[in-house]
Amino acid sequence: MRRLLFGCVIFNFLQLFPAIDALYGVQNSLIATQSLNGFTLTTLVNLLSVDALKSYYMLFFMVQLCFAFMGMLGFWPRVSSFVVFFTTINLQNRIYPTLTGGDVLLCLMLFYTGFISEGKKLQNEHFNQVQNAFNRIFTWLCKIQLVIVYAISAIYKLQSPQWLDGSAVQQLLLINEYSFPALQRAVCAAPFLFKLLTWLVLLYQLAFPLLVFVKRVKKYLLFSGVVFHFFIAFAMGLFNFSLVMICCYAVFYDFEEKTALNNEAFS
Amino acid sequence: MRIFKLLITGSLVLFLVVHTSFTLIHVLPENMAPLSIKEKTKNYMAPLFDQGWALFAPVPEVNKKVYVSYSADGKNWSEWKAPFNRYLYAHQSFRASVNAKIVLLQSGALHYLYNENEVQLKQRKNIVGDTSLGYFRVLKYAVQQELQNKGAQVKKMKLLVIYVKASCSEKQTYSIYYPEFEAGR
Repeated sequence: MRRLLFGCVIFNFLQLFPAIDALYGVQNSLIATQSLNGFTLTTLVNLLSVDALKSYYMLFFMVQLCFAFMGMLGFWPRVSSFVVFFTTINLQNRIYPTLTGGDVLLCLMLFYTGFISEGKKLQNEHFNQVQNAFNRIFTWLCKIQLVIVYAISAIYKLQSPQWLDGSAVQQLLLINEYSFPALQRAVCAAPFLFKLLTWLVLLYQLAFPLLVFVKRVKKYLLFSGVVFHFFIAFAMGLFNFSLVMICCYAVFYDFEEKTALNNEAFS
Repeated sequence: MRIFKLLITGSLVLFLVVHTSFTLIHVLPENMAPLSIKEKTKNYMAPLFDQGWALFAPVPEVNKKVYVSYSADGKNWSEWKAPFNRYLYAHQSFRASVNAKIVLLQSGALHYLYNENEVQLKQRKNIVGDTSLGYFRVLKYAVQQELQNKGAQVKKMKLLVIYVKASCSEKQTYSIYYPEFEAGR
């Protein structure tokens, strides 16, 4: 999953590059900097709102890309995760009104993967066991985080009349930012189809937190999720969000099969 | 050494439990986790782990557009323009482009502006906006900067935000008008 997240980061840079000045430029940014009070943790993750550092956004991007590439090639994976997390959260916070859940999830997962090794056994058995403990706990944190996304989203939807009566997807696809003209015409022409889609989305989000831990069903569930997120990416235009969500699905395969953790943290 | 390893495991498990609990409290709706309890987790969650997963619940109910007329000298005014339209059309044509970011920027500001004024809009349909509100300032900044990036001299601006109910049948329109105000940061 870590390499996929680094891939998302690299894609993000390539995507932003054509409008980098309009988003980050000192004179030309469409987004005002945030006001900060003193040197706090908030300031540390909003460095590009500090007057003296506003113009250094390209440096943040270069460091981010350098460590993302290094991490993808397998060099210093944990250090790379942390550095990419730190640069990414600063770059994201500078353009805070443009963020989606995918951006937030990307940062969270980068942070957690900073504590997960690639699975190489250390020479010292004691350190190896400590490493395994970190790997297990933070892998669980990644899984729990993704489960929380779907579970909480489902809870909010269960409290929303439009999701319960089936009109949510139809209404959403009538919003210009999350649709396009041909789709909007189809939505009005076939309302029952979109009612069905609404209930399917709700069912998927309710089922995910449980079924993703059932080995026999997991691959079908995740495949459905990939299809669902493809729709969100291309029909609704939330491309980055979908890309990150699909990449995060790897956590349900990566660490179980590739790193071959011990069953016991300590012997 | 065994005790040290047990301490590490114990600490990690405790961290897992505490972090997950705080995250859940932070993201649950207010009717499930009262604001008073959420306040206690806020210092831990922000700024590294801040998150929200409402994800289109409630569903946005209006389409929105902003129009601007500006003046370089306070006397001669331009025609009304929709400064962010081109980004929307570009985004609808190619989903992976950076236009998505700019669309989200103006869409988010207009969405929250609607929420701030919803009661008034539903009562009176067309209102004069309050320029002191936070989301107006985000919108004003973005519009002004967009005009200046295109080479316009902007001394004063007027904004008109139009909301159209997203529906296959009824087409209710609302508007917020911001009469002439000074540009500037």
